[in-house]
Amino acid sequence: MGKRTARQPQVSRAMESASELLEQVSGLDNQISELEKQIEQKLTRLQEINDKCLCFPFFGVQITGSVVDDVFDELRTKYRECGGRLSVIVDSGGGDIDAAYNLAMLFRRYGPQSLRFIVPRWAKSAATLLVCAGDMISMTPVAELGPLDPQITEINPLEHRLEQFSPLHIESTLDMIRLEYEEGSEQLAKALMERLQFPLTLGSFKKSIEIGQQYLVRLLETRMLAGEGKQGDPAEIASKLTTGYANHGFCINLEEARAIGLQVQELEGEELDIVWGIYRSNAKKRQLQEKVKSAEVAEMIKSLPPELLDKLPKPNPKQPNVPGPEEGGQ
Amino acid sequence: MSVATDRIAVKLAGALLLQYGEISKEHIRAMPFLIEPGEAEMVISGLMKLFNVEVYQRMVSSYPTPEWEEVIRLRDPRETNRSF
Repeated sequence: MGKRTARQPQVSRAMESASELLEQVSGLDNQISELEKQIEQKLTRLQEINDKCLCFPFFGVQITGSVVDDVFDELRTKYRECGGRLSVIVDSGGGDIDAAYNLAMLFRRYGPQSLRFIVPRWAKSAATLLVCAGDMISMTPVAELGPLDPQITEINPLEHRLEQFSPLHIESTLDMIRLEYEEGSEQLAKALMERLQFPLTLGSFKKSIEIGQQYLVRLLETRMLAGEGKQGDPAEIASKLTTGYANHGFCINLEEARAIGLQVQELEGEELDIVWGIYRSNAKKRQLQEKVKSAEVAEMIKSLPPELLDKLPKPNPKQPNVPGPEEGGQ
Repeated sequence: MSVATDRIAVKLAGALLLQYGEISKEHIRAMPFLIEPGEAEMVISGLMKLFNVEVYQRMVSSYPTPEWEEVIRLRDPRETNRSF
């Protein structure tokens, strides 16, 4: 597998200890099965104390179009008889905004009488849009929603690495350049201008904020904030969630969610115990699964034909983080 | 992570991608010599730049909760072979 280097023993040692994990894999599988049983029991109990309202667990996944397909399959087969009432436990960092809207509308079809989203810990970004689709959001004291400003991933042309930014940063960048023109160095301002994107691209990035706003208003005004006696203006909430926070990671906890006008309730008592228990058991399960995967990947690497490494595409020398022709000498 | 370990990790992940046609991000994150979460993300980013790939979510289980993994797969193996 190529020339040995001074640092390769470090890699080899890690591989050996991962291989030793293989012997423990059956033990890990037993522990994972035990956690799965606990999660199933807790889900059953959650349904019992909620008058048999079925609960869909939506955990640890980026929302994409293919996920919508899978959820539709699950709902069609297992939730056909849910009687128009549905709870959805959401733990997600977000994903594709169009897919999140589609998923939200899908859950609505299965919960026309009652649709509640339960957030044990995270429903950020596009997942925040999702949980705004129901009648109520139930949150633990540590649950977080997040702002809905889109995240644009671009290759940094100077450093040849992927970086993320929000369209909100366009305005602050233009402000910075304006200030530099007026009060600082005109030369520096011009240099900064030259590094900016094509204006049409900048305009389309800025426009992308409106996508989240439009979806959010549609969802809020047709369910959570529909009807008389509901406080909270969908347009104001949408504006706040898309442009009102300085950072995409901003923690919108229960109090903040309530303050901006969302219908939110705090999980308490046995329901809190169950939901938090499901979340923790699932997190433990993922840790154990990671150990199993570590052993698996070590075996996969060991069984690689050595000549395969010679077939790898040649890297662009300007790009870091890709194998270079002289890696043996590092 | 040292530059050498970084390059070895991208090479090995790339070889797995060629061998199996796809590799899950979870398998990359579980590579035994990657310690910090950021290291795995650098390897994933390296693969994305090096190969013509697409990322999709694959449902791997539905009991007791639906479960997905993110998979990086070669978009068109013949096209990638031409760049060898």
